[in-house]
Amino acid sequence: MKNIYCYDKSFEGLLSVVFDAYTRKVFPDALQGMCEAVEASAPSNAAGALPLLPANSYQVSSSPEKAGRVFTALRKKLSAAGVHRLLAAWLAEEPGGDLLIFRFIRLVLDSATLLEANCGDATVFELGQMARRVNRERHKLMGFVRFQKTAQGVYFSAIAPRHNVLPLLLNHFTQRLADQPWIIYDCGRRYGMYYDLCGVREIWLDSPMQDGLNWHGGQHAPVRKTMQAGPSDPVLQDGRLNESLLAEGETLVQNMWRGYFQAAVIKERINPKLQRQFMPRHYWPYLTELAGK
Amino acid sequence: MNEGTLKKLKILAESAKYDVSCSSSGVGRRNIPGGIGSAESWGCCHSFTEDGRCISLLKVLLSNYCIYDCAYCVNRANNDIPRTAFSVSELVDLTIAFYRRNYIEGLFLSSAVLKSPDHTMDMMLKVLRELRLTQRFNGYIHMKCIPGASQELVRQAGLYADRLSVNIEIPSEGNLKRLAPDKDYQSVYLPMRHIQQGILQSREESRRFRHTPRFAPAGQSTQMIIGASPDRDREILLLSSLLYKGPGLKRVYYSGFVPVNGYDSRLPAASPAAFAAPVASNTPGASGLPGSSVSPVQPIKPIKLVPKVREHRLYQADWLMRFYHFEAEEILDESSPDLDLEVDPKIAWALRHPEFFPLDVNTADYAVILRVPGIGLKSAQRIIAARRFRKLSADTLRQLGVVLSRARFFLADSCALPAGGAAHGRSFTIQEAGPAYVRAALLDKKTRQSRAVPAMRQLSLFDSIH
Ligand code: SF4
Repeated sequence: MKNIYCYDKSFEGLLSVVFDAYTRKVFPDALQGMCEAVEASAPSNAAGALPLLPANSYQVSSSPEKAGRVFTALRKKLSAAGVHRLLAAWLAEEPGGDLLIFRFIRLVLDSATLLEANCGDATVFELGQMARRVNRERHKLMGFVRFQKTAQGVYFSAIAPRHNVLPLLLNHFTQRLADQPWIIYDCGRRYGMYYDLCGVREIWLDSPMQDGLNWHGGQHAPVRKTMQAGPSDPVLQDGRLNESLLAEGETLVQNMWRGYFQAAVIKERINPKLQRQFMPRHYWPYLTELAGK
Repeated sequence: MNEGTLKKLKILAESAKYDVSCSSSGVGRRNIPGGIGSAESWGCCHSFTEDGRCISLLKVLLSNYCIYDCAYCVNRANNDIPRTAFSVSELVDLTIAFYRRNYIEGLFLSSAVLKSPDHTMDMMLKVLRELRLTQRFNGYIHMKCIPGASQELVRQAGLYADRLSVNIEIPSEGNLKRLAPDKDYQSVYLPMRHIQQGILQSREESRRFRHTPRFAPAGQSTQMIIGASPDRDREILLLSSLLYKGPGLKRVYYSGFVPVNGYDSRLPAASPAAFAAPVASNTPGASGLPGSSVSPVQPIKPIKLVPKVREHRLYQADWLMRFYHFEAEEILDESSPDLDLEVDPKIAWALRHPEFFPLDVNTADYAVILRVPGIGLKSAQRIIAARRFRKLSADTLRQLGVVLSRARFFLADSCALPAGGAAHGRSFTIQEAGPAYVRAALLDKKTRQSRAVPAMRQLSLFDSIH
């Protein structure tokens, strides 16, 4: 019989799974989201029977307390880089990634030695690869983010990364662009981060009003749960702000950048394949110099 | 800034683009309160042009009016091209506007020679001062010093720029004088030495005092144009290795010559040495004739584009010198003055030294492991870390990032076989098969198909080399 753990698909939830698994001494063979489990029980519902979950599935309720204890234990056994790698792997949001992370955490908690160095182990290796993909995309995005200045003076950027790298970009941009307010908005996951010169908070875009770009948001930034693909937001046309929202002179600056981008090409050496290899087409709609190409 | 600035930008970017260096690495710096910008020590590419090159810095000339007449340069005095110059505030505004939108990592400022080298340096310094002091700009700045600039101006530049460079352009003095009559070794190497002194002095002072201004913290770099003169790869690499041995030189860039001026009698039009060898190979990327399988004698066109692959091989060789503990003399000896265009220089070295192999990564030293083709810096480090836990076999090596299709010829059976030692996974080592066979096996597919593969040599373990 397979042991299935259902949890809310948050990082806190996953750490709670670890806690419960160790307490119950039963370890999952599969992980599922809460709703998936309910759907699985739907047929029996229709038959008029009680909505019975399969006997070997177990519902985990997320608790900051449980998660906190697991995380403390992990921090004792991992280097700072190791903890970072683990978080990056989580943000990969790859199918099956959570079970891999679970197995990794178990390895860490069970081993006496510093496990990270042992890349020969398949789980450690795969987790490292997953984290690497995320960090690589983060590094790419550090370059590929393009701000457009809005009439309100806020610099706005839309991105659509494969992995959920936005949380990993915040330090870099609050540091670098400390004296200008900005928003970086993930179009795929439909949430953004707003820096208002004091701090960063999570926001969601609203439809534009007479006075420009609108948004609302909470005080701090919880880690997003799952990816939801949605139609593009009304303020955005393929990730670019509606022209009526732009600051005066913004179009000229953008034209200059496009002009520069064209002028820098060495025509004798055109190599679009190489260009796409470094900068996959996937990112183009969000790049000022390539949007619409 | 207005439409006029846009026109200037196009002209001054056009003129600057042949300088290949675009790196923004080498210095990590946090923002200052009230300032804008920071520097990432690993560098960052913001975009890629249609030719596949990274755009990291806004690379422009301050002006393209030039009093000099270098044969290889678009901006030389004799060329009839549109000329213009930025005003200081124009360029400063442009840099800040681009930076705020995250288009760039910083500024790469260079210039043609206006009136005199020092006059030009003076103008460039105005831009740097305005950016650093007035705008409190904290991003990356690379400034290219003008050959012949005085020590005082170089010193000031070092206070504001992260990286300074003086381009050597032509690897040997005779050729430099012929192609750039207004320049000589002196005018290039003196400013380079001033930069070096500035770096050493600031290092020394920072040891004694707490707050010393940093001098060009990302060091200096230089560039050589490849294929505008008949200089051989060996001479180029020897010069590079000499430069790397001095303090503060971080990078040598190699720029394949693009004949921007059409035919110029000073360029090596009729020198087969510069172009014939590259053209003869049928390697992808080489601008050889399509479909030529053997090496026919090519008719030498007046000016030919330097094959990208030669430039690429030079960078690989440069990389071996900087990170893999190779000496220039090891990469190219007197009998082979040019890099092999068909295989990378590391493989070329291994093929000339079969006596070094096969080796067992479970026991070999790090420096030795680094010499195995197919094992890079990262995988070598991982091997050292992982072998403390287990004996490494082919499967684990693959996981550690080793390219076994290349490495297998150079590894002992003890680590090149799948765990358990199943004999079917076995391949021949370079000792058994001989360098000619391994070479053929390591050529890329396209080249290989056009050749007959040499028969494997009789197995003889103690064969002498060459
Ligand atoms: S001095 Fe510089 S800009 Fe002037 S012609 Fe020579 S290389 Fe070109």
